Amino acid sequence: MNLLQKLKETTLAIVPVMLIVLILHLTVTPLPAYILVSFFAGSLLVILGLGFFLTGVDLAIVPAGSMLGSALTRTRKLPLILLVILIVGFIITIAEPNLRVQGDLVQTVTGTIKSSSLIFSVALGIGLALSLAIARILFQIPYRIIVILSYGSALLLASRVSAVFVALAFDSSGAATGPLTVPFFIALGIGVASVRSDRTAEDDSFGSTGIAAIGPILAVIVLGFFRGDGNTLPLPVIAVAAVPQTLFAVYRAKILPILAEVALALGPLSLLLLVFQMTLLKLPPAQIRRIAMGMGYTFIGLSLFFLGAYTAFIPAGTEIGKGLGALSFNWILIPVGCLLGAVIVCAEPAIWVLTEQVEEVSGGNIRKPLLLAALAIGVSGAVGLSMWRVLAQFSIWYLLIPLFTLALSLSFFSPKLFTAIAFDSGGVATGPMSSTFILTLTIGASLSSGGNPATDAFGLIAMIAIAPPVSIQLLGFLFHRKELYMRKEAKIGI
Amino acid sequence: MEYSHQIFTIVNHGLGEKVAALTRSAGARGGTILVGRGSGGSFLMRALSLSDTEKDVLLTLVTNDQLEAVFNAIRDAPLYPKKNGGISFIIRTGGKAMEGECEHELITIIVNRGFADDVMDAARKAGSRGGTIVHARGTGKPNDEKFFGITIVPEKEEVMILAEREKSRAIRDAITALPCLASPGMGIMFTTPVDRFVQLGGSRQH
Repeated sequence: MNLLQKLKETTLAIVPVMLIVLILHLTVTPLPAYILVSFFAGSLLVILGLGFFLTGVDLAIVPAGSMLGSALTRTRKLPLILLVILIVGFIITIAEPNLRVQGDLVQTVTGTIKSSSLIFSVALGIGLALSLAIARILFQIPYRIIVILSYGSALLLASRVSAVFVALAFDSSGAATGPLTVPFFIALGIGVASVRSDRTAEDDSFGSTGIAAIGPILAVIVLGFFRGDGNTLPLPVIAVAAVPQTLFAVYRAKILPILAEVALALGPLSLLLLVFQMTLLKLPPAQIRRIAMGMGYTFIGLSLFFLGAYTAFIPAGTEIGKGLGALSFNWILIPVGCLLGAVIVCAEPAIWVLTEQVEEVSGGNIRKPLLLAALAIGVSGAVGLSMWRVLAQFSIWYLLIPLFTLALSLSFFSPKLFTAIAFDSGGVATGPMSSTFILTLTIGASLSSGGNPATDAFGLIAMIAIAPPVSIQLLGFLFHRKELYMRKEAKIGI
Repeated sequence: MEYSHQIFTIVNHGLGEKVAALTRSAGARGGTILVGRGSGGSFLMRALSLSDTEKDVLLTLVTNDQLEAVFNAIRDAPLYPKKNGGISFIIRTGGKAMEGECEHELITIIVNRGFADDVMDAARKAGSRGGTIVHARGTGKPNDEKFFGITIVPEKEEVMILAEREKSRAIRDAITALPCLASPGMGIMFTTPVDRFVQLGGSRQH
């Protein structure tokens, strides 16, 4: 049964995180008992939540997204297709819970930018970028060209506005590509590509999320040109007051807001699907039942996941970060960062959806463990480097510019499918797990070791976003060589 | 050399490669793996839409001489879970017509995408125990719809149901009677006689 299988897999993904925290607790950074208890209780909730969420995504979000994508393409009306994609991208992004948190944060920090105008421009950025991504599939423009143009111009523009907006731009992109938007965008792209008969259809199945992720970055930077610059950098973290209180009190305080948030995020999506069902999809009864059940599982799963992540990972991350940063041998942050980076990315919900879809579209050729390993290595390096930067305090651009250049030039050597998956993963890797655990840990470390928490935090998100495009394209390069070699070895296949 | 039989092996996702490796060491020259979705399970699990499992469908073409060794290798592999280990069956790819001895039939239904679950539901009500769904696409005819130079092909789902001979008729009738498949051009269905059928995991041979 799928749910059991999923629970088994998510347990395997979360247990390493729990082990590392336990080892740190026993050795260098002893945690207060209530934080440790809530961490382990929350981790269990995260395991359960992820299991239900992934089951729901399999049943509802992915089939609905890809059927919508192919039904739209089949209408063969380009303006209609692009307009619908724009609206869908816009509405789903507006509903993303993380983005609203981000919006409020920006309003309090800058004072000049309203929460609503940030959310509006980010959602518009996603919508426009997503229709660009779909138009690219239809016009068959090489993915590489779009990626080089969009990432190149984002980087160029970023150097022209104040650091505040660069930080905001990357954070907003990370917040907008959340656990609900990403699976739907991935599915939409697969749906559009799947009605094509030509040979490059598989290559084009992915990549839309990678392009969509660049939309908010461009949008916020453009907003920065109009709104002048703020002076202080925002601290992109949900303010955590780690007040000692009983576990049940914490859950009671969090559960209702979280349920409301998840409902608010799923509501517009369900409504959209209902509208499309009546106008375009016209699915048979068994399919509707599956999607409805799947929506239910997604709701349960996301609620449990957020409840666990907020109560388990934010306090523990902050405490561990503070503890490690204050040590006399605080270089230990670098290896710990590498280790946590590797295991946390394997616990990101959207990463699971992506790797599963890759396995399915490639007919089992590109296996989940292989992709996860490449992702883990990439993010591990990124977090390690970011920790080094927390301690050494050098400009983020010394890391970002070489990595961006490397990622873009690798697109000339890596197979197209891998390039598309790589940039998708970049947008996906900055999900709720890294922003609740690694981000808070970095901020904690930065606070206690005398760094600048705001720029360190920004650097982390940008680094996590650019690491997978490098590591997965490298994997693609190796994969391709091995494939050529194997084809030479054995010419027979049935 | 002529391939006389095709062996279908349907196992849990991830086992396909391992079984294929065993068939190769038993003499088969290769194999093809499709990724499918099995739908069996209890009533409660189906009602909760939790009955899906990912399946690998391994297709192995063999000659008459290889058949026994390869089929035994599949059947006796120590890979399968005790419960719902999977199935394996043989279909004759040519040569003489079947005698009346076969007890099972493979019903293959190819429908437009999205309809496979309705097909499965109908089949189950008519006595089928489960089936496997594989994603596919139609190959497109020369005068198919074009869009920016891209040929748009219909997406399909292929449902494979292994049924006892005496139940086959009822299952096919139930599927044909589905209201959502009533309009023309919704799909096709055909049956293939099955030579031998074995349930994997445990040692219950049929």
